[in-house]
Amino acid sequence: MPSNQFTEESKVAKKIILIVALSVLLIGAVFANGQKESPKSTQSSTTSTSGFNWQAYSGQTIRVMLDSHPWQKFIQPLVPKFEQKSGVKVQLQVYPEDQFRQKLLVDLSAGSSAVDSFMFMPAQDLSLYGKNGWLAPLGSYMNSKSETSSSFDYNDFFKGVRVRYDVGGKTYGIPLHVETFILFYRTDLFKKYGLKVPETMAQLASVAKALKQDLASSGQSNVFPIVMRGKTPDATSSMVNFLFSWGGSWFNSNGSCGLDSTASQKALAFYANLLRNYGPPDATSDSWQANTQLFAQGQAAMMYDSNVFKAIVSNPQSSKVVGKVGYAALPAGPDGNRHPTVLTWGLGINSASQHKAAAWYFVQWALSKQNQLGYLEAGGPSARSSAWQSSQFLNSSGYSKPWVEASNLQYRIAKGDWDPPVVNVQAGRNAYGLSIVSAIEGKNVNTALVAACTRMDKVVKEFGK
Amino acid sequence: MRGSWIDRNLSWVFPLPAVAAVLLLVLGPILTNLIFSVQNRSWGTFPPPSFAGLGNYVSVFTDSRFWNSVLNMAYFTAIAVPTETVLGFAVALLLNRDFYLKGVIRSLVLLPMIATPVAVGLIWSLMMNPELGILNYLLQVVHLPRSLWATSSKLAIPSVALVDIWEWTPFMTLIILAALQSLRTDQLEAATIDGANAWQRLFKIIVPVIRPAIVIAVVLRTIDALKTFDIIYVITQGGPGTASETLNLYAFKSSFLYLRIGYASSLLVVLALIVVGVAAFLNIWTRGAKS
Repeated sequence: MPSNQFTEESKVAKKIILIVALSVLLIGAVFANGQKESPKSTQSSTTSTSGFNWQAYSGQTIRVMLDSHPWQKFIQPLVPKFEQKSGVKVQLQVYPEDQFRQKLLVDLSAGSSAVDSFMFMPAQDLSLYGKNGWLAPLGSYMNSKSETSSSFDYNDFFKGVRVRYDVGGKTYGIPLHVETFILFYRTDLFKKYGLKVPETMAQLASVAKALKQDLASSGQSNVFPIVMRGKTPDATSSMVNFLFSWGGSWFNSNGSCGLDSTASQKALAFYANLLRNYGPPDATSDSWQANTQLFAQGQAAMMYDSNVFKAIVSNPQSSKVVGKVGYAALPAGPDGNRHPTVLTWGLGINSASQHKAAAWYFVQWALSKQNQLGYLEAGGPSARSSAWQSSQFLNSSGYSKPWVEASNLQYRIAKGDWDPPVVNVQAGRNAYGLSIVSAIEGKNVNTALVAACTRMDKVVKEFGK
Repeated sequence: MRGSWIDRNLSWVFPLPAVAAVLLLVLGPILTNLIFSVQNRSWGTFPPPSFAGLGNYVSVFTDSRFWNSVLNMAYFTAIAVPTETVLGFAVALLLNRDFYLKGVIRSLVLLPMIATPVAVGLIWSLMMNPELGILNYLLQVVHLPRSLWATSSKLAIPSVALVDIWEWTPFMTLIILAALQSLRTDQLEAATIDGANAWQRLFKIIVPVIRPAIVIAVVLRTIDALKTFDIIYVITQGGPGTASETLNLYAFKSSFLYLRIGYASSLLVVLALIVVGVAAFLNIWTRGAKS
């Protein structure tokens, strides 16, 4: 009978429900148990002591977001040492630069505490992050004897660099390095073809021309005379040094866009011609990632990019040209003077973080004297003066006199506005970057720069300077 | 026995979770997007959001970069979809017969479609690398000049379309193959007896009969191609300059790079209208042709 069948089926159904319910309870019980057994945040009760204690925040977990970058490659393998020293667990999130910026922007603007500490560049981010209140001021930690190790010595960081992290008398970050764009060249090729290191922009162009002929005649036409950034917006960081060399500026003294000036046109024409005639054919798609790769693989005779990339080209694991690399300062512009710029990356703390103090412990450890010295030895331009003066560095295998001299020469005279001085820096960089791409593609420089100013005006109008 | 409350209200209680999910995950974001599109809005609290009216839309239509991105989107779709349709149809005809290892080969042909677009993009951008890629190596082997592929302004869109074709032709094959298999053989036999050759059978019988399937495949692919993001983002990021920047990419950059969320939202509303418009046009056009 059908009704009987249904009652039997409903019995089966009841059994199934019972089994499911029991398993849910069982799983719940297991997890509840697990939670009970896991150690409660073992905040050591040493808070009463006034002295500094590395273990003060032991048991906490912090999340640190890093750009895929030479400094990240240096610090990442050392992080377990910090975990051991402090008992703080560190979860590193590492992304390539574009994705790094986007992910960080989303996390910070959501007011989430998903990230505790992160890398940032003051010229690029400080204005925007500051206006949004995303960065925690560090003064109360730095000035507290119980929160900051006595060996930290903030004043050891170059003054010109650390003040870049200050807004309205408050400090929002600690520099992890200070970089400047220098000329990398292959000493073996220069020697072989009897070339002199260019001291002026005119010489730079003639050396590139000579290299092209020499390389072609010796069957090395797969080696490019020079590689520089051609991709938007990255190319702006490189191009700006040429802009300043010709006497151009981001904005005129009356505040209007200065990118369409005659000086700016000449500078861009020079940069674009140099790259189009003597660089890789796909230059407009390349930034430092591709260029350091080409140079390290021996496929470029000169590279104009940040001195931080010594870490890549002088490392036998990533480079085939170790021992054949020379370093020189940016050639002088038509006025006979060099006009380099200086950039800095640093570490900041999310103002929405639940673990600010633990994050501060990470920051002061990561940027300690010892780690900054180690970074310099690995080829990274440390932001601490003690590192540059240390006899350990001067006697280490990572020491290169030409690199130190070229870097220091530029640090002394460099300008800090390597990025457009506007709030929305990315949009400002792109306003200029698109014109650099057009110029490299051979389009009219003047038209391209007028368009740059139209875009820049809009950026200023919407977000301010 | 009286039915319980749930029994009496089955008709709306059962769909409730699904309706709630749709409201939350689909309608919510669409509404938010519409609201953002009439606001001046950035990430965070600076500058403070303000009502913009139709200002963003006016900016959209006077923005040369918007028109550039629409043209790129149309160019990309115009290369990818017709090629995929013709190739997909040809492959389906080839597979629609008995041969050794039929099952295995059919599965292999469908593989690209299953791969993750990001992975596909990464592999192809390595293969298309002008200095180190295998495609230029192969060109050299047969004594052809090396190409710049996606790194040249002129070839960027065709290059990414090539990858799209590689990945999505199997989708066309799948749908058309299914239609071919439901084809009745008696019509074809009758045509053969009447003296029709293979081309005539193809264009007079097979194509008209499986036409609805082809239309559906083309409409679906067109919608997807207009919205393509992943492959282009991975290979060119819209570059060089803006040479391969489609509307979807421009909206992404406007929001995540240039911090203009309001403007990006209005770009996306326009994109949605274009996609719906094109799909509706294809539907009406093919229906009109049938009658």
